[in-house]
Amino acid sequence: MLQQKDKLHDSVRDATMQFVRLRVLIATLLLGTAVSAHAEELTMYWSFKNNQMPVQTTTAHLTKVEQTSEGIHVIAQKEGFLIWQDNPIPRHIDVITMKIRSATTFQAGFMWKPKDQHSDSLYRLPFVIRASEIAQDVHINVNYFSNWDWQTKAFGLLIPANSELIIEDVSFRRWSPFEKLIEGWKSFWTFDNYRAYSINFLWGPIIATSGPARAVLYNNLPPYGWFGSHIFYSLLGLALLAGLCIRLVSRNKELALGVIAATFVGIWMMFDVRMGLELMSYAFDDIQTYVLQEGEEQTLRTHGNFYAVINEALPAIRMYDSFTLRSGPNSVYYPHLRYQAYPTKLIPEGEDATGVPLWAIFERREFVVDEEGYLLRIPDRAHPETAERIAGPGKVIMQFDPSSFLYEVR
Amino acid sequence: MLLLLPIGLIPPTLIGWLTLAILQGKSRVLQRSEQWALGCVTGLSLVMLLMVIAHTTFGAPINLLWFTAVQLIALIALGGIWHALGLKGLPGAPMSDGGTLPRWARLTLVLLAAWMTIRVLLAGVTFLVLTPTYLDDTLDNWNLRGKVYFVDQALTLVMPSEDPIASPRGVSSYPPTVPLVKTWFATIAGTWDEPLINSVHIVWFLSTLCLVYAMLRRFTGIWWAALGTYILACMPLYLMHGTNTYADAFVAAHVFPAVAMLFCALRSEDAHARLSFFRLGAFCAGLLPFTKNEGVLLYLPPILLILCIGLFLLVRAQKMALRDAVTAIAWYIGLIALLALPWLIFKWLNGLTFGNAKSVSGLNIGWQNGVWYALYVNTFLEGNWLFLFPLLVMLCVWKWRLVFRQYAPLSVFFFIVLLGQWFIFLFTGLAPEARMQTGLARGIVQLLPVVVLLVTLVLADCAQPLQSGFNELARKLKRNGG
Repeated sequence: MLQQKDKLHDSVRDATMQFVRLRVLIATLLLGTAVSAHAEELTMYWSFKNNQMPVQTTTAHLTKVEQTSEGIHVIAQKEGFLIWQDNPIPRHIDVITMKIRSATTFQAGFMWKPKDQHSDSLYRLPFVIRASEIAQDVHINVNYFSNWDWQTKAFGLLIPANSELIIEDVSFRRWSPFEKLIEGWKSFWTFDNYRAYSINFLWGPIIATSGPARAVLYNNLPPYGWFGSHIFYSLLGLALLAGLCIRLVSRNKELALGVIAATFVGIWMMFDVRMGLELMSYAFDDIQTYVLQEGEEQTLRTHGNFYAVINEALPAIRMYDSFTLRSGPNSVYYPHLRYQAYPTKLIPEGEDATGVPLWAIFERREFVVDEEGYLLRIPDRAHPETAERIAGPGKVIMQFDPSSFLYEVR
Repeated sequence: MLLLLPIGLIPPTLIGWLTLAILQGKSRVLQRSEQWALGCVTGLSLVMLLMVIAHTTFGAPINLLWFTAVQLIALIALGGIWHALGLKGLPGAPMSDGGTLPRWARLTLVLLAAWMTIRVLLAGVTFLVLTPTYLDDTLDNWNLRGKVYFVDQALTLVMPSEDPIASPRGVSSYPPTVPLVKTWFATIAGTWDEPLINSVHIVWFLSTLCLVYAMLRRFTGIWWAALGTYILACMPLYLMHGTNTYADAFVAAHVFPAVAMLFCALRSEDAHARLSFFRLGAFCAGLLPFTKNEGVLLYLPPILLILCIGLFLLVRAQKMALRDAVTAIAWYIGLIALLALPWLIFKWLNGLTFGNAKSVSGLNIGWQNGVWYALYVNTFLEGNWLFLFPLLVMLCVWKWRLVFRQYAPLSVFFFIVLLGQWFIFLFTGLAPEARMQTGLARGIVQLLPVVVLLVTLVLADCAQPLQSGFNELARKLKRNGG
């Protein structure tokens, strides 16, 4: 019995060494080829700087469109379009990257009309342009969408009302199949962050086929990529097929089961390692950004430095019996402050706040304190005459940023 | 402050342990560690139930004095009964023969245990202790209610800043067990200390692991018991729930013993042991309505159905006396009535609902688009469960006799509840919970220990062919390599 066990142990060890040697060889070949492979191909590039207009551009409903030294400067008081027609994209592409600068954050849309479509309707893909002093790259991973047509007659941007931006350049890129394989491998090991939905579900590995797509992998809901588990199921399918063939051809039931079981164990462990590392990355991120930081430097997950702000505000809030809150839409201030401040009662917006001694204003630019110490609400900052007195007289006892403060009523 | 966690667990655990010991009588069926783990889980819930009864019936405020008094009275009463029944010194039930593990298996177990421990420790400490409350339901329900009870020293149904008429029908319709546990720890500490009150969630997670291990050891060797425990501990979404401040791992900690004890009872060959298991199962089932509303609506009915069918089959096969079957049913009815009725009466008197913050009455029935795809993605494609459910499907096909006959109580329970959940999502206005994946996976989290138990037991029964398969593959690879 003991000799049989030793024999089994030896055979497993030898087989494992064979297995490992073969895989190391393949991995070395792949890595060598990857390193020596050419970088992504820049298929086409449009620069709009220095008053250049390398492509025919059509606009509709936009207030102002002008060529400047910095790029195309667009102002939209109403929703409008900027379309590049007679599309000269020479071949299939994977990613369109636009270098855009804007002073405000807003959601725009990338639009296109497939070559064979006769109706005037366009496909639209929303994307966010974030406020920034420097131009940022906005990547449109067109390869992901089955209805994207590189031979499209026209494509361009939907620009929402009350927005302004400068488009510096547009580049069209693609990657070779092997590079996509490498990017797919990298995206398999690209982890999501701990977000509010992480307690409800975990995306798991999502496969993207380009660096720009991988960089923004989990920024969209759902992510623009393919479930990595499809690969696992393919491998399992192959193993089942192989097992079936072995069973039918050599009638070796044990070998068939061994192939299927070994494949299953292998993909399970890989999935387990991948998900385990992701959960550990959540913890490491928290430790780095919150636990090891102090004061305003503390940020946590999707809440930025929110906890630093409310931790500073809470001691003051708790000195009162009640307070009222004005915070931005969809903000997290209400549930947190209601819970953290209790038993200090939170009077929500919409309820009568007469006599409430403390006003907590967070991320609401329309609230200001005038020179007489009254809290004002100015719905339209361009028209100060719309200001109305909300409370006071009183004073600001804590200021966090220009739109966030605690106001005490005397 | 964290030192108060083990201190605060001692009295409820003792109460739970004594209750379980009394229920087993002279026929000890629980292993030593199993009884402590189950005692901790059930004891905490039992103490909170007693506290609710004391508060609603006698007007006792929810403070340290009354928490202590309730637990002291329970300890004295249960201790007295335990002593009077002569149960002192009875050994725990033995485990099955663990078998000797070959070196590679021991090494694999050590590696898996280390990998599991690192994750659980890192996630548990970071999410529960080192970082503040972040999740919506914790802010709006579990922690909020606990804090309100702590401050008000009462079972306040109207949450701060909410409409006094509508508010009780919201989160206050949930059983107050989890919030009261937090209130208990805050009461001991004298302050609302978030790391302390949040850290209790790891207790339910670890206790469940212990219970799953013990249950598997009852039927299999160390290798399979450890493997099954590892699978559960490392299930990504279950680990998230176990190390965060949601209540679904807490529910799982109650559903598992309720089903597992019933399973053991129906399998047991010894009449005395069988009745012991029935009493334990009845006790655990009786606590289910006090966990979440699903306890009454989704879990208790299939448990009772399986009980009745199981008893019928046992009596018909003459493996069980009719008198014993009637006794078992009486225990279930008695304990469920004793434990569940107080809370259900309280709900009825205060007009609380039975849905999950939404009433289930008045839901229209009709096909809901998009839900099938959400179910498919959530169960098979995302990272929530690794390949547990494809494995379950494969085992249901390959070893259907094992799954649906030998382990019928587990499989039937799981599939009834799963289909019940799917029905609700596919045909009612609760479909957005599935499409948006807000409530979908959490129902599975509550069932996961049962699924892992089922899958591991079936795999253990397939050990011989699997081992032959691996041996044959190794031989083939060696021959080809040589």
